[in-house]
Amino acid sequence: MEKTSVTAGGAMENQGNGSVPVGEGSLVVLVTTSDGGYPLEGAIVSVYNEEGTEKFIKTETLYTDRDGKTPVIRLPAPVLTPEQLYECKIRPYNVYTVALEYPRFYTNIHKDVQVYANIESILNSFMMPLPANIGDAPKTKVYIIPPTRCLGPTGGGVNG
Amino acid sequence: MADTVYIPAYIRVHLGPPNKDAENVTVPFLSYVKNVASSEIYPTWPQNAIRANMYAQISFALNRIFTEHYRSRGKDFDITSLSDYDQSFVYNRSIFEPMERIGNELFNDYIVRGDSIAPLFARYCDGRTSTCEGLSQWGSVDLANQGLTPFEILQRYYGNDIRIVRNAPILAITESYPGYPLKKGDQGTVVARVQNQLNRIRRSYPSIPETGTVDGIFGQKTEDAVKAFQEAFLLSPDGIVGKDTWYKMQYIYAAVMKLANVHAEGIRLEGEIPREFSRTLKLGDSGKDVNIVQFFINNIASYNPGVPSVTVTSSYTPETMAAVQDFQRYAGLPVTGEVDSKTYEELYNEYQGTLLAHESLFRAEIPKKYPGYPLRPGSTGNDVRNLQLYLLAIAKKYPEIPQVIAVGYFGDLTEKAVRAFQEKFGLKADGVVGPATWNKIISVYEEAAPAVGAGG
Repeated sequence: MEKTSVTAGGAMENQGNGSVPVGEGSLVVLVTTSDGGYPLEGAIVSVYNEEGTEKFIKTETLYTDRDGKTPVIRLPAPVLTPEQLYECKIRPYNVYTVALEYPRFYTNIHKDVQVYANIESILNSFMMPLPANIGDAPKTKVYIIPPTRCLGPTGGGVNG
Repeated sequence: MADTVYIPAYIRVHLGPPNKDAENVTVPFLSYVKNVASSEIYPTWPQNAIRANMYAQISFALNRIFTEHYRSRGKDFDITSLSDYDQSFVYNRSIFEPMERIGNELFNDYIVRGDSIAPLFARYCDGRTSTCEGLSQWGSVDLANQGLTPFEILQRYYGNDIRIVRNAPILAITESYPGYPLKKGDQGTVVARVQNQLNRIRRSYPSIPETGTVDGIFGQKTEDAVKAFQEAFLLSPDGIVGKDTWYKMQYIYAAVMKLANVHAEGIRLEGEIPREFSRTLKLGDSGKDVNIVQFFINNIASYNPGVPSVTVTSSYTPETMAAVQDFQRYAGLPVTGEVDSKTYEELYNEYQGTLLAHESLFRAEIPKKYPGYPLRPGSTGNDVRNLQLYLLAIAKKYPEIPQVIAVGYFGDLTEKAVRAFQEKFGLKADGVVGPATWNKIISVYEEAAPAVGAGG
């Protein structure tokens, strides 16, 4: 069966990787309770650029289906050679911010979701109920995906 | 140390350095394996390099569990999330398709040396900025590009006396994979089990069609249900229950049942749960109030991987105390392991939140058929409660319809909402829900619910 898909409405460009050709990757979001116990149908899915300032898929509101799943979302991503990947001077993926909203649940915000060219990324976001009385406490949960190891702060150690 | 190696169904990960206070999350081992691979290596690498690395990552994690590396030091977790101590894990991160697919295939395969049953302590380094006695992540890419198989790559780094243990049994999962794919035309109790599980999962995932009679015969309807399950969970929709589909089904079935069981327990205990705190509960205490706290914990645990489930014993066990500590850590309370008034208040508040979430989620399981008798002021019971859940969802889209409370009693508020609904949709505004009003409510709900969710 052919999967339905939506294409990003933002500019097709790489993020700070001007010297690298631009390709296309994809993202599918599954919105469920913990471990897939129940799918959240009708969750609102928003995809933003790296800074969280520009919304992709501008022309329609994106909802999850009966399985808590979005269509395949096609997004720009850089195309690196194996040598460039090894050198680790250029980020080999684009990053996006994905926000998920559903009544009675915390809004999940996933920052720096990585999208590689020609690879499907799968974001299974586990949603948690809001307390009955939340008062002024934040109603969002923010999850930040750190950069790939050679671009990030870690390295060395037992499995460095 | 254990003498038999089972793959744990779940692994408990400490999201920080081992000796620093941090949140613990309990996640399916299958998910853990895919998460680590997506955090440690690149999805654009050759498949054989990814496979070799994933064997090493699985073996490393199982070694930590088998040797009780952290548990024997008094920790209540199996592994940390940091590569400085173990291997990278990022809770609630995105997974890459190659890791998703390969993880489904080999999450219960691991490396051993010679006749040993212990999973290998499969050390590895990136091979670019650091080296060690073990697998080089980047080196594995070179070897894969030279045409080596995953096993040959592993032999280069860990020696020729290693072997791969395949399809190890899973602890606490009902049934291990039978060892051969199930497909159309097959028969037997194992097919009946698949049919049973699919039919239960279907109640939460209604895109999956019924398998028909649970007769142990893998017919067309069962194949269609398997394909729909595979579509829903991003597996290759071939209608065959191979290892990947089998274990995905086991995990989803377990998660669906966990949520359904706490929901059912909530209905059983309805009306018995006190709002007010009565006494401080601590290790060694027993009684009905301990039972209620354990029920709160299990409700919260069904949504929150940072809080583990407990056995409901009515005794304040060390397991209960540890779960209370995890909850206190999550809620930002002093971590005492005792249920004082503030902890009880927060437990109750979170529990009430899960109830509201249940109302929102379980709408798909609310019967849509007219109950067979009119619902009117003074009526009580589940049919009234279902009506109220529908009205709640509709009121989100049509604010002129007053919001009701789903308590199962047809009071003034419900009557007002029904009258407002009838007026809006051109029905006789008598405040009584007969067949015409019921059917209109269902059709309006069907139109309104996908966008807003019920009870939201």
